Amino acid sequence: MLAERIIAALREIVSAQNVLFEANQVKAYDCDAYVAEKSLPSAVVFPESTDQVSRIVKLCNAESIPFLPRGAGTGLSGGATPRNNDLVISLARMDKLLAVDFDNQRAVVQPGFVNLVLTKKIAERGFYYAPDPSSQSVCTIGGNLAENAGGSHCLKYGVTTNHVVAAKVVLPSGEVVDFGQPFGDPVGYDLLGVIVGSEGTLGIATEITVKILKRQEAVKTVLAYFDHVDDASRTVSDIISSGIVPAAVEMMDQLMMQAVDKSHYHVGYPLDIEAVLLVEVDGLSAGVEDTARRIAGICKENHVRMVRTAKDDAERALWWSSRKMAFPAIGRISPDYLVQDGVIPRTKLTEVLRRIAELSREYGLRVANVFHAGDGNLHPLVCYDARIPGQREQAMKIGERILELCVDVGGSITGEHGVGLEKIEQMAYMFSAADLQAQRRLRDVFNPRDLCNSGKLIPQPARCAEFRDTQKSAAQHMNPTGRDIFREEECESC
Amino acid sequence: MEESFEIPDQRMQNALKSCVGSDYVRADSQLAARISGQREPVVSVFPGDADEVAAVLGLASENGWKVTPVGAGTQLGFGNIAQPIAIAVHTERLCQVVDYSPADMVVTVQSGMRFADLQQLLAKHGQMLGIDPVCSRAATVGGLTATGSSGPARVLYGTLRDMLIGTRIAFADGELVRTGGKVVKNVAGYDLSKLFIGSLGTLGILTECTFKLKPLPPYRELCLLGGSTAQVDALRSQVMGANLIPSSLELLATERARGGAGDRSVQWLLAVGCDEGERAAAFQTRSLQQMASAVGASFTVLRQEEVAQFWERYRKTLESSGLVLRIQAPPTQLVSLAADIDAFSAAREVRLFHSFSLPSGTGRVFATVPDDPAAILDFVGAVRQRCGELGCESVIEKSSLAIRRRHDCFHSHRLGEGELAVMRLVKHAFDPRDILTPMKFAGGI
Repeated sequence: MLAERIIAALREIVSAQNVLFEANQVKAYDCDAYVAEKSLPSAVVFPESTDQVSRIVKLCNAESIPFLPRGAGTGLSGGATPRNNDLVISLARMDKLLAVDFDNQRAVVQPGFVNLVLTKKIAERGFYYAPDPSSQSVCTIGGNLAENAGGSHCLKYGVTTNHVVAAKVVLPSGEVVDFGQPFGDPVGYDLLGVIVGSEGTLGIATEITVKILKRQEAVKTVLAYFDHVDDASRTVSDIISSGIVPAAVEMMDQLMMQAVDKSHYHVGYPLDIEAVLLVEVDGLSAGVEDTARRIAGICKENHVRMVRTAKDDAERALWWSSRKMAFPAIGRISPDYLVQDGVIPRTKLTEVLRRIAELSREYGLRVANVFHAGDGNLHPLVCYDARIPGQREQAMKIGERILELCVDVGGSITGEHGVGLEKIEQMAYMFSAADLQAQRRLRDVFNPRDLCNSGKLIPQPARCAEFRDTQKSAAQHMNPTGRDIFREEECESC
Repeated sequence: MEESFEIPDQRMQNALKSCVGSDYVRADSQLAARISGQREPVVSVFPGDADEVAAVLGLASENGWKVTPVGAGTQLGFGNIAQPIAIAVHTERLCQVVDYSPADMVVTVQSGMRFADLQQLLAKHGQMLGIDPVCSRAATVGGLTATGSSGPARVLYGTLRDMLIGTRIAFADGELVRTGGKVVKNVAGYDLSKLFIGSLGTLGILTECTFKLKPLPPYRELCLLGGSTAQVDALRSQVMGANLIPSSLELLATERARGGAGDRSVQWLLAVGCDEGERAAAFQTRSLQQMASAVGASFTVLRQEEVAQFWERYRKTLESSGLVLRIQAPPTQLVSLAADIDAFSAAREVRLFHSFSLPSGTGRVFATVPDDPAAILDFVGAVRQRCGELGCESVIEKSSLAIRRRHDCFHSHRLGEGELAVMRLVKHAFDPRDILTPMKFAGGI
């Protein structure tokens, strides 16, 4: 709980109905889509303008209140979880499309604007916004910017950082600064380039300029069933090394197929196939037919059981829904699940899938696999039952082992979900102490008091973490909000 | 100048020799003039690996010696005039491929590797790094990264910003750090790699770069559409609005294309490429031909080897330009702005070449610097004034000392004090003693 006078000050900035602070009101904001860790926010505010965001942040600075920005709360790594009882600054009411310039192929949105709504608004003129995370019907572009969100089609079109060209940002000090260039290259350091993907630790974007793309003339979607996972993996490698750049290459394994086929989006996958590939190519009609045929040929070389092209838009949409609804569908076969987001070099796909299967046997927990095979971004879903004592811990342990496996083969612990709270320990597995120190230096430039989404993305050096834990428990005795504990002067060695 | 050449600090040379070996340290009077026109001599060091680069920086930091990284030394005219430099760290010996897995379409190379050599190696595997900047054959990967180079292909393939996925960099304090990773998709930690693109050696010295690659297009076609300012602007709008996939949409104007003496109407060429395969190219070419004939523009098509030769000639022509201005404006304004710039140059008898990547909103003006610096200074002033009136950007990428003495290369209408302040803090965080190429960058960094 915040002091009366601070609530009053927040109400003064955003009006009374835009401040929530009663426990029952703020409960919904105690985590994002990563539900393993929860913590109540001190309050939730809903600003409607850049100026309001700036004033809220300045108030937080004056009062040393930790704060964090929040979009739709669909993040999968705990980036919006108020672990310090932070003040949650929800951007949900900053949901306007500010400008569209079709001739110059740019749009300007507020951070709470929903990803898919942008595509819908510009579709009539044949345009779309390329980054397409599975949650695109609800997730916001501000959240996408913070997480550098990807999606199925980023294999060809790139992730959020390749599409955001400029942003107005409220820095952790409350100062408002414009970053980037709507056209051309950055002038000076590419600061926008580090703000994108900074998980809300370097500031809050309040106006975002993005590229909008012309829809391709033709799209072909190919579905292929494989008896063996190895054949499917080899097909992916062969497609890529043949010089084809597909718009997307997605794979699901047997367990995953069974789960989605039980959902509303029933494709009717044969029960005995080990893998399904969904490959999409787009471009000029004159070329796309050829490419789709070449892909079918590569599938056949790799012992495909069945391969065919979507006969119409409805079938294509069904195949995609089946893929995009994979995460929620897992609920149909398992009471609980944990999703990972490791990335590996494509060439290691077969090897890594085999190792994941071994881990699954070792721990006695089922692991369903759905992934962006084209860019080696795995989403293993570890199935468990939280009611059985110890299973959750076992599931988390497999998750960690999978991430370490990804790093061991030269990959990364996260391709698009972000580090957040969830993978913060694995950062030290992937990066050296010096590498992490360089990242901390950058954070300290933007966020010197570490009030802005503190405790996310980059682990504190071990010594400091222990020190802080001691401070935290001491502080909590004196101050139930635990609020004043992250002042920089308390740990000079950081 | 022989007479101004002094024996450099012997202690510094000895210390550097202990880092990299005595064969790889030498005083260099010529380089001094080329770096910043300074009178003080520069000591060149040639580290053999990343650890030696870091050791040199650590030593320089302790002593407050100013350092600048040098690749092939072909782009030293970039940016503002730096403070006098004591040590040039050459990446010449860092020229190995560290890691190349063609099936993963990712390559890691040392920063001193020549870009041309890299492309040649990748081509053997049917791949490429998707940039085509105007640069010397000697230009290095690290140099192109530090100058943020790009060319006409950015319209389809993007810029280094879209390709550089990881680095190894030596910071001023002698710490060797990895940023990013070696897989095509990765959001673990801050994307620090982006800071080094176009940073002109002011934050650290790149020792390795990891890039995402593209398949080499199996077939290439290039349509050249020629016409007046109004004609090419109409074509730009049509091409951008159509369902075509141009691999370039470059607005070019040459001396030759400008017509005979007294012909005041500029003639332009739009170079529209297709990398999508033979059948798609045939379709795109037909569409472009119809557009050209509808507005009365001329039309030529080049195929395969001819396309490569066209761009090769283009790069050869522009490579030695002494002045390069980068203009940034909405595509809808770029063509008329190019025409304005052309008029300024004609009035001042400055010879120039336009190369505007229209959909990206970026254009470069390449000029030979005449003997009369007043004319070129006047020209630069006129261009910048016009860009200012339109709220567009005009960055001086490369220029002569005379121009750099008069103009801040990074003068920008959008780059505000707030953003500059953060940039200065970033510089201070990574180079607190300000030893790396000071004053060369934006905002006196």
